[in-house]
Amino acid sequence: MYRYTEHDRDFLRARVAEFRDQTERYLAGELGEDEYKQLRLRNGLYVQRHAPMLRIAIPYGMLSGDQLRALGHAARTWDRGYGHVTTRQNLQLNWPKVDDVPDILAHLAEVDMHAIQTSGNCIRNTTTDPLAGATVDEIEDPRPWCELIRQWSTLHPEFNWLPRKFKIAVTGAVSDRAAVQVHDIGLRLRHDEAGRTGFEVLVGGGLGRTPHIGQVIRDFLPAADLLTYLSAILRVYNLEGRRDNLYKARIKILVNALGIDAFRDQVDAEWAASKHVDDTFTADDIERLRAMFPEPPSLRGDAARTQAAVDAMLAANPVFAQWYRTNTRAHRDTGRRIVYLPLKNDERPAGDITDTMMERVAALADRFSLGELRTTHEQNLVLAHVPLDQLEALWREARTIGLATPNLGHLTDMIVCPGLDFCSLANAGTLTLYDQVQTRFDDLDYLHDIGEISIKVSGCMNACGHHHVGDIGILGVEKNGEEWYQLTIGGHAGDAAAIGRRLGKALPQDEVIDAVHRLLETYLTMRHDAENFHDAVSRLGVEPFKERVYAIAA
Amino acid sequence: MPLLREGRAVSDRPRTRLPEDQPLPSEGTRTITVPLSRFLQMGETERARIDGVAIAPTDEVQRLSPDVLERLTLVEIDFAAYTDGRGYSHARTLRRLGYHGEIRATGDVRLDQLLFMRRVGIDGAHIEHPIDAGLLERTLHRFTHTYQTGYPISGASDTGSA
Repeated sequence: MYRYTEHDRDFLRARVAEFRDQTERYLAGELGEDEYKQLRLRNGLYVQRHAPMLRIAIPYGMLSGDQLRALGHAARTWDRGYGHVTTRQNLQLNWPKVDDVPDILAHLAEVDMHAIQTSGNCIRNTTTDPLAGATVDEIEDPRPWCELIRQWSTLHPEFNWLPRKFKIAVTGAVSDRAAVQVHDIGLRLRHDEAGRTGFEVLVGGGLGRTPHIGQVIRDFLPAADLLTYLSAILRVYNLEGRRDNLYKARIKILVNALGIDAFRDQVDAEWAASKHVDDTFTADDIERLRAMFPEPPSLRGDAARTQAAVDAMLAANPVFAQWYRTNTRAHRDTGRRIVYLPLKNDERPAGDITDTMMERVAALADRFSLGELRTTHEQNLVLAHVPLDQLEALWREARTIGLATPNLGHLTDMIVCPGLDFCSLANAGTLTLYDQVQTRFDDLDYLHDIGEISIKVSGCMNACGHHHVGDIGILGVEKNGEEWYQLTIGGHAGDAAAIGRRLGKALPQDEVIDAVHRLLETYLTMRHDAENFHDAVSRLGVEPFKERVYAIAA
Repeated sequence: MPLLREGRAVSDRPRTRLPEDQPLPSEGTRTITVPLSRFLQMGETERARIDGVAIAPTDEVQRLSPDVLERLTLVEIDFAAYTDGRGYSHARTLRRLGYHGEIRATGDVRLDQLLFMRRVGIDGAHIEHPIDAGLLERTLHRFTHTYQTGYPISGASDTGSA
């Protein structure tokens, strides 16, 4: 993991002191409501439907056990004993008091955490592959680059007042688990023929009201040019992006208005003029960062950690075997395994985790995964480096915490925004729908018969639940003061990202769960052999699904 | 309305901001600012009689050539709203083009943004409201470390020769 330097700590202490000062001025009436709002947003503090909400940054989803313990302490001391993992890999506290927030931030600063730029029209937390540094299909570890971007984007003086929020995602693997095609900027690490590191740069992707798949602005940007090139894109966007209409202010609108070629020309012209002046970094800088993300000690060839030993365990325990097959993934060290801890079951809302769970997961990270863990944009947790011979012990521990439901990537592993229950923007209570899915489809055999599928639910057009890229997307809409739901199918967030297509007219709340059920039944009836839901929709199109849902609903 | 230069309150010489349609005064001081659009239409004789140019958010500052910038002593950057960040990129670009004179933020300028402004090269500011000197001092000197080396925290040096 990245280790904070004294410079980082000085910076963070100054930031906490600054926000304490600003909050005191606000409470004393010296700072207006609107101005304080802009300042608090850049420190992660929203005022929501019922109470303020503090969104704490988890840079590129990496956490230490100590940091998770500190989050647990914060949730217990200043909130109602739980937090919520977001689709930007961050963690939200839903009930802090405004007056307490400087103290919460001071507490987090002691473990090198903050809430800087988790909201506001600025560069947000950079996200990446939650399996970085562990997955077999990695070209290069993206995390040193994410840290470089984190530092460059942190209180960047020129890009703090953009037309709209700005999100960057990086992947270093062949398989895209960071959804880089639906970000303002998506970066794919590449090596050229000579083995040099660079990036394929995508721009203008995004969900929200007008979903777009990002377009390639550079096939191969040499890595040394990363920051100057990002600055050139940001400067063009800062100057040219629309500021007259909130809904047309994202970079995707600018890119599509100009066309990718004209946009590229503008960026190239800007870059040619500024690349020798803007922030650069040296080979030493990136090597220093790389050294902070070493390969875990190799367990390859260790006699106790062979696949044969694991196979014996799997044969002896079918329940463990089901968990292993569903919730774990291959590690590039054959003596280790990547383990997901899904935060999705009928105990609590998607992505929610209690203070004691945080402390117990921190202990699991310390004991089983070199003291670190990751959050994922699907709102789950990952222990990336678990030795094979400790898998069963970990599984038993995770079961006692309720984090071993074998549903990863399956029907009940939904992405769900907080919805009407918490968010002042939402039209719909997404959590009710989540509960209905958890209850209706609690049969694991059925779940595994359906296979890999994603249901993604957003309570409004802002698409925090990524509904556009769900196999089944569900969007809450408001009609005459009532909650209705618009269904889409065929969306995809992976390698060939696709925006889901509308199934038909919106449905009232009490018909949605039946509609989902009928989509699944249609799939089961019509699928070919091992075809998953995504492939079946690609082959069949929307029509057969639409007919089944609306013929009965009508 | 206090005027700050390099983080300190200073007293201002009286200045005139001439809008598009108002003729240049027949004589008097050179302390006159005109909008960029007007400046670009002026001939050499007229330009010699003014020392300042005002930049609006939608302006293209690259239209000021380096030799023109060399003769200006003041560029005023108008912030229509403090949440409109275009002025920061204008200032950055002006410094890159080699402008060494004062860049002054005008319009909706807020205390909590002054450090960001200094770091992009804005070294002067008109602020609407009176400012507490202690608060100003704290605001400008709170950070000893920042992450963007090309945007120095002192704000005093320019980036044109970097």
